[in-house]
Amino acid sequence: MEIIAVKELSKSFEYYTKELGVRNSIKNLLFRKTLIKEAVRDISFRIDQGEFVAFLGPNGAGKTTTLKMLSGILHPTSGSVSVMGYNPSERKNEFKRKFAIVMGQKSQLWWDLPAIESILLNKYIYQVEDVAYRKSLDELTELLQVHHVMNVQVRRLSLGERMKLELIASLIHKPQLLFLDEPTIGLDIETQKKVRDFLKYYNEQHKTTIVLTSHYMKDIEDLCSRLILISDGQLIYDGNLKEMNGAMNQTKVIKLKFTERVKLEQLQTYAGIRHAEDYQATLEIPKEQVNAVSRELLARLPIEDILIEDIPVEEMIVSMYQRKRAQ
Amino acid sequence: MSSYETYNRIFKLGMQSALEYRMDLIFSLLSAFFPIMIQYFIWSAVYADNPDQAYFGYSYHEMIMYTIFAAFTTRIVMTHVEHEMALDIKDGHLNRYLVRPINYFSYRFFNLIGQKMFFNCLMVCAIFAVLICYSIYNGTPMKLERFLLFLAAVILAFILNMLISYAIAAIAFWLSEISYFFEMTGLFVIIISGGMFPVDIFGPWVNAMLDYSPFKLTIYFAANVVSGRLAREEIIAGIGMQGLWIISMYILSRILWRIGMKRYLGLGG
Repeated sequence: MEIIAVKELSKSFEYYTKELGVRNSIKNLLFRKTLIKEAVRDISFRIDQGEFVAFLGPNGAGKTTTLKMLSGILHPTSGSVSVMGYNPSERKNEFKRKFAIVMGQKSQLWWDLPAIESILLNKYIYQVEDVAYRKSLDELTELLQVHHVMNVQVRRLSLGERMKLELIASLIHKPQLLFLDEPTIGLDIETQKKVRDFLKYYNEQHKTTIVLTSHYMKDIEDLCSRLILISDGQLIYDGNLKEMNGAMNQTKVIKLKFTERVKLEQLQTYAGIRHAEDYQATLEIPKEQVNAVSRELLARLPIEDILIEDIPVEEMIVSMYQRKRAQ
Repeated sequence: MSSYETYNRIFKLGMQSALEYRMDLIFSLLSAFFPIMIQYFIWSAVYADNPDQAYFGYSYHEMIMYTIFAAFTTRIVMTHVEHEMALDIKDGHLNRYLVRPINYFSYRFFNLIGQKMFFNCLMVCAIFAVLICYSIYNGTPMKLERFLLFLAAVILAFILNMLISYAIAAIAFWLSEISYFFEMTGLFVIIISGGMFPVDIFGPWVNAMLDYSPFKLTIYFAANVVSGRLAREEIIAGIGMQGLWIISMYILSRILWRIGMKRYLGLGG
C-alpha cells in the first residue's frame, strides 16, 4: 500500500549574501540583493507502507527540506505531496495523529521536567487511550531500557538517553509513519547501535513506515532496504542499496599484500593503481577484468594475501555526488 | 478525551517547571521590591517641600500606594512570553508544535498561566496584605468588593497583556534580530501601561491618545481599581473595555500570526 507519493516536488528559498568587510555590512543594511536558492528540485518518488527508507545526501542537499514538506512544516513551491492520503500542508489534526517526526537536534521534551511528563502530555495531545498508552509505554521502555531515567529531569540526562526518550515520546501514539531527521547524530557507537536495533525491530514488528535522514553510512546499511540519494536538491538515485552496488559500481577493488618488497614499476602495467607502497597495494579494476588480472597478479608477484572487494558505499556515493556536480 | 485534558496537563506542567527553580522564584519575588524602594525615595523627594500638594492629581499617599500596587501588578501581568515565542519562530522550534495536533497559542497560554500561577498568587496575597496594612494605618475599613473587582481586572489585564505579547511576537516572522526590539517594546509597554508611574504624568494630550490603546487597561487600570481612585461605575466600564480589547487583540494577533505563518511555511509574503 502506498503511503507517500511525491510528484515533481520543488522548493525554493530567498536568501542574500554579504561580501567581506564592514563597508559591505553597511551596504547590506540599506540594500540587500535577494537571491533564490532551489533547495529541492523536481523530486518524485513513492514509498509503500512498512518500508524503511533512507534519505542520504551532503549537507544542504535538501533532505531536511523534503522531510519538512512531507510533514507539513513547509509548503512546496511546486509539485504535489500526498502522505497517507492527506496533503501535509493543510496540517489537519487527523493527519498529525498518524505520524511523528523526530528531529535529532530539536527536542520536544520539557527540559526541566522528567521525560515521563512529556510522554504523558503526548498521550493527551494524541488522545491515546489508557490501556494502549500503558502497553506502548511498557513496550518502548523495555526495548530501549530506560526505566531508570524516566523520572530524572531531562536536562540531567545524556544525549543518548534523551534521544531514546525522544523516540518514546514520538511513538507513544503508534504512528503509521515516522520521520527521523538524523536520529543518531552525536551519539556514541554503542548507543547508535542500540537506537538502530530498536528502529529495526520496531519497523518489523509494527510495520511502521520509517523515513530517515542520516550521515552515518552504518545507519543506512543496517536499516534501510531502500536508499534515496539527493544532491543539490535533485534525486540522483532511488533504489536498493545492494542494487546500487551492481548498477553504479562497474569496478572492483583488489587489495594485495606482498611477502617481499614490490616496486612500483612492477605494478605499472595495471591501470587504476590507487595506492602502492612496499608491502601492499590497492588496485581498482573493471569488473570484467577482475578474474584475469588477479590470476596474473598471483602468477607474477610474491603475494601473501589477495582481497577482492566492492567499492565501499561511502566512496561510491561521494563519486556519485561528484559526478552530479560535474554535470 | 477532550482538549480540556490536554491543556489542563500543559497548565500543570507549566506549574511544575516553574517550581523546579526555587532560587529563581525567590529572586523574582525579591526583585519586585526594588523598584518600589526606588520609587518611594523619588516621590518622597518630590513631595518633600509640599507634603500636602497633589501632583498630577495624586496626593503623596496616593502616589506611594499607586507605586506599590503598580509594581506588583506589573509583576503579575508582564510575562516576557514574547521572547520565548520569538525564539520559537527564529530557531524553528515552532516546528514541534506544528507537527502535533495542538494549537500553539493555547499551548503557550496554558503553559504561561501554569508557570505564573504560584508567583501570581503570592503577588495577589502581597497586595491583599498591603491593603490590610493600609486600612489599619488609616483606621478605615477595608473594602472587600474593591479587592474582588481588582482580581477580575488583573486577570483580564493578564490575558490582555498576553495577547499584546502574542501580537508583538509575530514581528519575529519578519525581523530575525529581535532581542533589542523586545527590550525596547518591553520597557515602552511597561511605561505607557503605567507600570512605572501613573499615566496621568504624560499630560492630557498623550492620555487622550492612550485612551485609544489597550495599554492603560492593563497595569494603570488594575492599580487604580485597588487603590480606590476609581468609582464602581468606572471600574465596571473599564472591565467592559478590557473585554472589548481582549477580543480585538485576539483577532489582530490571529491575523498577524496567520500572515506570519504563511511566510514561515514558505508561502511567500
